[in-house]
Amino acid sequence: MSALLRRFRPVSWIRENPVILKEMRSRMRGWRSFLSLTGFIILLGSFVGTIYMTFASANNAFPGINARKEFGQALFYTIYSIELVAVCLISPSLTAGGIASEKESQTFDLLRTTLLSARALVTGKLLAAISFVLLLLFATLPILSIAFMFGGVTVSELLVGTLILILTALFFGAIGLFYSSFITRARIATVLSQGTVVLITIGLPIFALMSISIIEVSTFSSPNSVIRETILLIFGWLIAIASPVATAVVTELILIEEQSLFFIRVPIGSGNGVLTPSPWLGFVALYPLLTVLVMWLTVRIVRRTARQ
Amino acid sequence: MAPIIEIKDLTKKYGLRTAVNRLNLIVEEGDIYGFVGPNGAGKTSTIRVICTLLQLDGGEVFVDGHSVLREPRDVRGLIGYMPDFFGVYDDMKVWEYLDFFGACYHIPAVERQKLIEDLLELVDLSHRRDDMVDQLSRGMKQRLSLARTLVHDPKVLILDEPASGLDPRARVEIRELMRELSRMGKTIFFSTHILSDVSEICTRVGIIENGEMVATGGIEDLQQLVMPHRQVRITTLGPAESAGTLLKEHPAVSEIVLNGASGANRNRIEFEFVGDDEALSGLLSELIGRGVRLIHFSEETRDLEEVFMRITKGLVS
Repeated sequence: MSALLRRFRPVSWIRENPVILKEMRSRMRGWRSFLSLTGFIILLGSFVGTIYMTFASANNAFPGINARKEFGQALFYTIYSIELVAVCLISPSLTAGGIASEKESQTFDLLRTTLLSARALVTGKLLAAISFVLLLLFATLPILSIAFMFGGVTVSELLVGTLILILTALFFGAIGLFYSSFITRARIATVLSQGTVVLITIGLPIFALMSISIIEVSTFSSPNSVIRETILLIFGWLIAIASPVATAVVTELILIEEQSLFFIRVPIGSGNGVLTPSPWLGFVALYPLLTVLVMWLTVRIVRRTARQ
Repeated sequence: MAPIIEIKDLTKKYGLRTAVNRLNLIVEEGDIYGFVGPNGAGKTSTIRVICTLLQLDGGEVFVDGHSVLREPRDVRGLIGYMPDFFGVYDDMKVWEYLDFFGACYHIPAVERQKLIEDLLELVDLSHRRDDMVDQLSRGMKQRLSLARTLVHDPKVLILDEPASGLDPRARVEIRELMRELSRMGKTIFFSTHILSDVSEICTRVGIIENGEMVATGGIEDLQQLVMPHRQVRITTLGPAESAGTLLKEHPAVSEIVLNGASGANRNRIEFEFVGDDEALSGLLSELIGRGVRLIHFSEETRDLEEVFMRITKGLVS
């Protein structure tokens, strides 16, 4: 392992990638990033304030431990939902202009005649964008910590939630770069990548619900309920791991209902049930895989585009 | 001198249109090679192929022996490319711009600092080191762009219309920089419309039209090729008859015009001469040998513009 790390030297590779430094420097220059960061924190803070006021007036300033826990959970869910929406929208927006803007500002040719590889260019753009998303998430930690003060939220919930956010940012960022690699207009690339993100986050769960209803109706008269339930379980699980929103919601529901973070036993037919992994485990396996696949495609397109 | 750029039968097509058609060209080490041609002649396509930015449809291109097709990475390390536009990063300082491209060529950070100072001094932009790139004038941006092409100390500079859109002063500055870079041992291959630049700094010229190389060589060679008649003017002290007689008898001389007295006891004669420098020198010796009292003997310089106009109109063939 250490030999592998010595060979690839990931830290120095990131440090020596000029695109990361350039992008981060450009992004943090001026007031734009500072203002968007401040705006995001103010938005989050005002949500927290509103929830606090609502709970405090309804529960007479949190008389019992349960009321405090409920408040902590409500706070965590609210902040997490806002962060998830922000990550889903911001990540592709930050990267969709990545390659397209180089073409627009006519710097793409200059880069392609240097020794900078297409892989370094693409990964540099992605990592620089993700580092800003991480900064955004990091900046909200003090607000999130209020939820822990009230209880009702576990560290494992936070860790799994953060993992989902980071992997979402990486995959959706990669989608933005993918569109950016073959579309010359940054604005069009942004619209297309955000459309794809909406399709994945909202479209997929809606499609799943509709499909499940159809499967239930069409197999209602089936004498073999085991097959029907198995189909529904597999289908539902696949949809749950495909959308970060579905993953987060279903994982949390399982955690609340079954008190399990990793596996649950889903009853099928009259048997003992099937041991099923929590959706976040599937998500953690699927999203990095998809990210690598999309990045690989993007690098190929950038290489090809460079010599057309 | 060894060829540093060698193009063999290069063909580039865009759909049905052939932009470059079986182009052959050799640039030798140390050359300042002017690549001249009208708009749409195929100059930029050729340059983009050399710079590994464009796939070729036929032929071969080598830079210092490396094929642009099979060894594009090696070629990129050998060339410094300046396109006909200035690629701007709005939100970068001048030194950051050079630092970024230095890093793109894997130059260690410790070396980059000194390198940037040297390059800025070379292009006379040291005083604008911490300014934003988009605040520079067009001429300064072009100089910065030239500095960018030098960050990795390439053997060949490939410049696409380096003086296009510049004011006269900036043009002179770029021209002087190119001379300086040539003195530093760089081979320069550049495309241009500005023929005065070509005649002033180029050691060799290639003229392209409709994707085909119509003429290539030294400027003198091209002039000789296009206009074999050399226009010569002499002034004699005293009568010009003996000079006139000799010239009429000379097989290489034609179109003699006696301009008569051009001052106190001076007579001017103009004529066309076919022959090289050796032959022209022989004619001068003959005139003096016949006792002609010469006070002026000169050849009219032939304008490259005229050469270009004749060639690109197909007068060569």
